Amino acid sequence: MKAEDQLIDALLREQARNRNADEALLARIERGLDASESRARRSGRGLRTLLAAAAAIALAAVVFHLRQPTGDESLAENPENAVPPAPPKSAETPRDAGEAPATSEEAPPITARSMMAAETSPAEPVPHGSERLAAADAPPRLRAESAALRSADAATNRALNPWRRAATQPESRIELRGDRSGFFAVREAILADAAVDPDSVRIEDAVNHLHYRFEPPQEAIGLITEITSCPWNPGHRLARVALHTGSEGPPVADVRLVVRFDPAGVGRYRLLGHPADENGPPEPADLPPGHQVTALYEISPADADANDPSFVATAAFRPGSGDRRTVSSKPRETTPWAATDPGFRLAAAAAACAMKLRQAPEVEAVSWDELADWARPAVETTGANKAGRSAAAFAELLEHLAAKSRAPSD
Amino acid sequence: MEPAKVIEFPVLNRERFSELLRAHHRGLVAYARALVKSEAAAADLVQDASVAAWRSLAKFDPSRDFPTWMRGIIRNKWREYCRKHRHEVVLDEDALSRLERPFESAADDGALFARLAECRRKLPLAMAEAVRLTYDEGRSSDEIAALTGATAAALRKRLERARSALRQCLETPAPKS
Repeated sequence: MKAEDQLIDALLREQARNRNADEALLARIERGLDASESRARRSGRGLRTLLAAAAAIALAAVVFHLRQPTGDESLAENPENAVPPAPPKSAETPRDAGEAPATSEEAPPITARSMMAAETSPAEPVPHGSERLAAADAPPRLRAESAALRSADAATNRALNPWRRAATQPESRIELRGDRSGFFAVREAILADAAVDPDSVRIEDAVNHLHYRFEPPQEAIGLITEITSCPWNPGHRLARVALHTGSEGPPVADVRLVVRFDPAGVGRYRLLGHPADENGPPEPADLPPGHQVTALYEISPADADANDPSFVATAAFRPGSGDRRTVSSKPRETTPWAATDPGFRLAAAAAACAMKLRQAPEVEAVSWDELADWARPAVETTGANKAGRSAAAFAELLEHLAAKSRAPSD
Repeated sequence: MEPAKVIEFPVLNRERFSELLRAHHRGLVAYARALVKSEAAAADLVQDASVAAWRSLAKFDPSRDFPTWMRGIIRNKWREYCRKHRHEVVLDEDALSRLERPFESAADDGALFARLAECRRKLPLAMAEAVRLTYDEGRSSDEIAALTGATAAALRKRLERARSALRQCLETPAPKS
């Protein structure tokens, strides 16, 4: 299609949506503007921090020198100790931790740490993490700040699985067994306004405590794959892999589910929840009829205008009788978030809800009200069946959390 | 004597900027979609361009039209992506300026889509029907072929002609009423 034709095609598609605004995109843009404003504020603060850090280093060096006039290693000669406290860039925008900036024009902000490190240790690359700041004999202020920085870095690591590079680890296996009752306990605690231990919330439980509505599969197993824009990070994509077995059919045995990412479009990916995936490949599972498993991946595209990120999910299984079979599914091109299947949006709301409860900094800026909005279409489009009931109960939980977050804290 | 200092200051505040985006983003995404491969990439491009525009607000000349300025930033962002990823810039200046024309006579998204609806009403019946079944009802070409009795190839041609007629109509200034 020629560009002019493509333009009219896009206008007609937009007109058919019969809306006055793409609210999801506007919300994403507002978040982008917020982030840009706070980054601008930080860079101003960064300079001040740099000066303060330089002064602190000078003072510490003088004190150290006075105490150990004949020491073999002076502080100034040891870059391990000379690294000043950094403005906590990764603590304030942990979304960016360990990642390339989303757009090319965004040079990484110059931090006091990187500038000082460049001056003091030209030969050694500076590790991204804060391990270097942990020197036990650093002045107390440095120790305290490095501890704060470490704990912020750790918040992401504790809440979410690490990223994997599609080029080196294109395959991810999904654990199919599992007890979903965990999230019901979390739900009860929230509704009773009791405290929820972040570590007790499992993302895969939140996603899979819900029942989703799928078309009856043609094989004993149905496999659904989809990609949409990631609603909590505009530069990323969110992928859904859902497996369901014939509600009428017999159980299926020896089921394995493998997802293979295409490095041409996928830079890095992380499975949301299912931390068992990190502990070696899951065992094949026997699944009862009607069993459903949904897994969500956050994808960081290889680059903004390369191939659309893609993957292939393959389920291998043995039906009640007969030989081993496989079914595969590959998503179509990325669906805009606003046009995404209500079931997918519901699953994303469940994952983001668990991520918030786990205190993942990635979703801090997404409000409970927004999550309730994501879940709503599923409630409206499913009837008085199991899927509809589970969606309605979850939406109610989100409304409760939204109301609680609006209430003045005491 | 020292020359007078030029003080750059933002001419739009955040609230006004958000209002303008709300009034123009649907047209901007369609414009971006003409440059990149997918709707999601088009939305990303508009998002990046919006943030870049907000950062360089001091450069905005209030005598210029906001969506025209935004389309310029979208084009620059797109060229940047092409350069960065060594994609060929497939559209020349002529093609890019042709993409501007449908927007020239519409003050905002509301006017743009109203004009599009008006242009659709002027289409010959068979074309209008093909557009309605394809876009509004989201039917597949097989379904439409079965409904209208046209072959898939004829349908494709009909849609192409319809889009071309709509483009020409959008490029013509709306009649004063």
